[in-house]
Amino acid sequence: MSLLEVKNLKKIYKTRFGGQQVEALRDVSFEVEEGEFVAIMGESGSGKTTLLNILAALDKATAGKIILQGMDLSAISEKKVANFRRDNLGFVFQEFNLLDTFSIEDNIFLPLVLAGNNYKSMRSKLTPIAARLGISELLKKYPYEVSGGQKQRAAVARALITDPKIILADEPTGALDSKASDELLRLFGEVNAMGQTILMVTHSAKAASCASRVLFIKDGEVFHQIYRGEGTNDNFYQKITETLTLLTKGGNK
Amino acid sequence: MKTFFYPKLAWDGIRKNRRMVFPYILTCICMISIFYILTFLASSETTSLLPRGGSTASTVMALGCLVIAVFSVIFLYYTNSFLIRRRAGEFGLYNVLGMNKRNLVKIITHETLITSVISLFFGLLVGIILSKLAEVGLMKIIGADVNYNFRVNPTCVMITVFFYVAIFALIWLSSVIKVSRSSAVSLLKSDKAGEKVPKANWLLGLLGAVILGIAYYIAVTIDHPVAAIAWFFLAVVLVIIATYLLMIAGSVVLCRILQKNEKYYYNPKHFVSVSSMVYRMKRNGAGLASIAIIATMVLVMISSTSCLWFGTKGMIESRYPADINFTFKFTDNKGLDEERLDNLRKAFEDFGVQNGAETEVVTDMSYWETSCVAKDNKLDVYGDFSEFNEIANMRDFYIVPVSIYNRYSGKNTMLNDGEALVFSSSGDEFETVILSAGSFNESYKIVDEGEDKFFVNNYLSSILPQMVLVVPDFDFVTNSLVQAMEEEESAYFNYEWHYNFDVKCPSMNDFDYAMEVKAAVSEVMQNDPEIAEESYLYFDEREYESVEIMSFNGSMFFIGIVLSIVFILAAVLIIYYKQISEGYEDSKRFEVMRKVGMTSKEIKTSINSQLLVVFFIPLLFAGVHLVFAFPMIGKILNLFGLFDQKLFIVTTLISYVLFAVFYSIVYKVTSNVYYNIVSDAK
Repeated sequence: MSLLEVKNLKKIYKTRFGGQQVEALRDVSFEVEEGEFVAIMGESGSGKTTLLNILAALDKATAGKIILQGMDLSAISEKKVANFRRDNLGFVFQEFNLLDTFSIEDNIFLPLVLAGNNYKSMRSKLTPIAARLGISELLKKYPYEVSGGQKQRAAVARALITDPKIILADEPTGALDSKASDELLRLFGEVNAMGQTILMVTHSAKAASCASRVLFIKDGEVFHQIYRGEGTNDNFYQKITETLTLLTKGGNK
Repeated sequence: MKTFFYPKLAWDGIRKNRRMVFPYILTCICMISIFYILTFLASSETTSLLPRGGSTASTVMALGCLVIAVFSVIFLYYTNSFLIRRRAGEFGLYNVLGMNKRNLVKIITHETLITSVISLFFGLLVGIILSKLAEVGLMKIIGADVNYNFRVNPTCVMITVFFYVAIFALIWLSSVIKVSRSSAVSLLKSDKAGEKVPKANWLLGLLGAVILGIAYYIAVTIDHPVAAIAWFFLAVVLVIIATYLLMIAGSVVLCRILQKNEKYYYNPKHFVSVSSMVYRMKRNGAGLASIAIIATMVLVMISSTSCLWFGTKGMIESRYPADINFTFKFTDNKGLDEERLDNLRKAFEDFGVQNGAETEVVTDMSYWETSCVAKDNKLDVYGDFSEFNEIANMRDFYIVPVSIYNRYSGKNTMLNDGEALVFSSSGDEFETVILSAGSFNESYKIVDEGEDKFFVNNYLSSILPQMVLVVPDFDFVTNSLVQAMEEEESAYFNYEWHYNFDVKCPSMNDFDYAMEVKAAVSEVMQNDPEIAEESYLYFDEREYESVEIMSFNGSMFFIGIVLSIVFILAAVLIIYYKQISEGYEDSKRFEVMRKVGMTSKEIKTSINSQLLVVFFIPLLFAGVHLVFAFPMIGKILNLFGLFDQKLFIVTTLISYVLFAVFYSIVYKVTSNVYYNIVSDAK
């Protein structure tokens, strides 16, 4: 059984006064196996972010199902959804979303504190993660004192510390320079190699080339998918850009 | 088309920012109308309608006007600088889009023009309409006759217009300077300049606590009314400084201490709240301190002036125990013997009989009066009164023969030589006293008279505490004292006789009666050359005097209400702007918290608890300030002749409760604005 199954997902937005309808997702289906690193690509407006928001339980689908380890997301009550998100999902955002009122350490602790963990157990979880992400020295600093790359690593630490079933990353390299991007992608690769499932939305071919599989979305549907197979990153990058070109030309399946 | 470009932009700017600009205009309107009303009430046209004592009311109104004027300048300036800061981004955008500084200045000029004209127009309109209401209110409170003619005072309109045009010009100038000094980029970014983590400033926090301690110590240890006035202002200044220090630095220190405690801090209930509070307090510390100060001011004003007003009757009765109160002063230690006193009493009675009046004697008492410094067990009539630090030991000193004491206390106390009774309104207690004046020293053993106290006529109205010494050898003591004091030119002493009586006379009013009986009695005194030289007499007619007291207390109460309204209005505006600016800043945080797994409910609870703390802090501070100010204000009220402690407690409590209720309502309403902003952003 797959870790995550997405079946015939559909999302229609209505404008505020009920006039026009916008179909963000028409019919999206795919599966993610445990330990996979999947990238989702598509142009702006293709429905990537909508998909991620629905996966993150921040938004509700109009139709279709999302099943995480046998649990149906749409069946979870509104009350429990935040707890569900906290216990099962880790998030990495383009804008980092670190709270400026907290030190880096407290930002990483936030999900655990909300879950009611005690300080000792939080600390013992933090130490190895911080070491792995190379932020042990920064823990007492505040977000405004560190660089973008460091902020993003802190955000990754926050996502990892709850030991989530899947990490959802929304354009994680979008706000980083190329060096920090490479560093982050390398970390993602490492984390994935240790068995962490990652689902990343991106429109950087470079970022996508680190994944083990890339899904292409166009006009609210999964248009195409390619596997890395045994190829190198460069090889895979080549394949991705070719597919993207095809995508923009408007070719058919 | 082109000519209307700037006015249109300015009008759009105002409309788009109505959430912030409308309350500002509303405040301007209120300030202007209240300023007009007070100038109107202070004007001679209005005071001419008042009975005698109108000048007191006029002075009080003019003082109130001055307070409003100063407050307007500070407060409108502060509010406007907040508005400009909030709108810097908009000006930056215009700048980037190709407007130069001159164009921006034009927009600001037009905006200032629009807000000023609207404020002045409606401010004066409301002021003129309400001035009649205010006048009637003042007349009712003072107890004067109300008329219903509607008047507009052009001079007052002119003064108001000139004054507020000057304020608006000043505000305009500061906006122009602020905008023209900054670059486009800094304008664009000024409302999101990165916020540093507030550093806990232990020194300032501690300093605040120490200063507050000193201020409170001063407030509670002052036991003398005159000293209270002198120290009051120092205490007020210290309290204001301490409040700002504590709110700005002390609160951050407190949060830091809480954060150090891992068990407390890493708890879902406290984690977010405590860390956000640090920022909230840093941003709002000054605002909260201002609210606390304003709240304290309002409470002090309302509780004391309402106490004066409701205590007026008691005040008049204690100061003027009878309808007509005669005082005879003799600069001779002997005064009058009983035979001469009887002559005078007879003159009073005869006059009453001749005019068909019913009279009833309330007080008929004589004693020897001076001041003394009471130190240890020495009552020094020769004390150095010019020394300020002796002021706490100064007493109004009365020496009363034991016969008079027995007559008025209804007792039958026998005093042997070397024995005396002492009564002190300030609670001094002695076992022996030494009565001293230069070379003269006489010591007495004090006889205990239990709980019953004895004071001479209307002691309540005197500034200094009263001390009464009842002696058996009255003539000997007074003779010796006079002898010793004759060498001292500035020595003050006299023999007084008080003769107070109620009167009911069909043919004339009390005042005329008093005038005429005075003439009759004076004639009797003139016929006795021995006393004519060294004596004088005067009277207080209760009705006549009470007009003055009513007028003063009434106008104080009135101005207390008006100023309270203005100050509360200012506090409301500060709270409102605080909620708005917090709303905009918190909405971003709100979104992040939701994304990392907080439920909306958790966020709401956390925000609510923070808002509640922020809400209660100023109220708490105001309450504590009020408690410590209480004894001091009580002393100052003594100076105004008010001694009803119970009444003051009641008015203070009622003021506090009313204020708390009103404050809660305002907070509830402005919280809604906050929630709207936070949920809009989502």
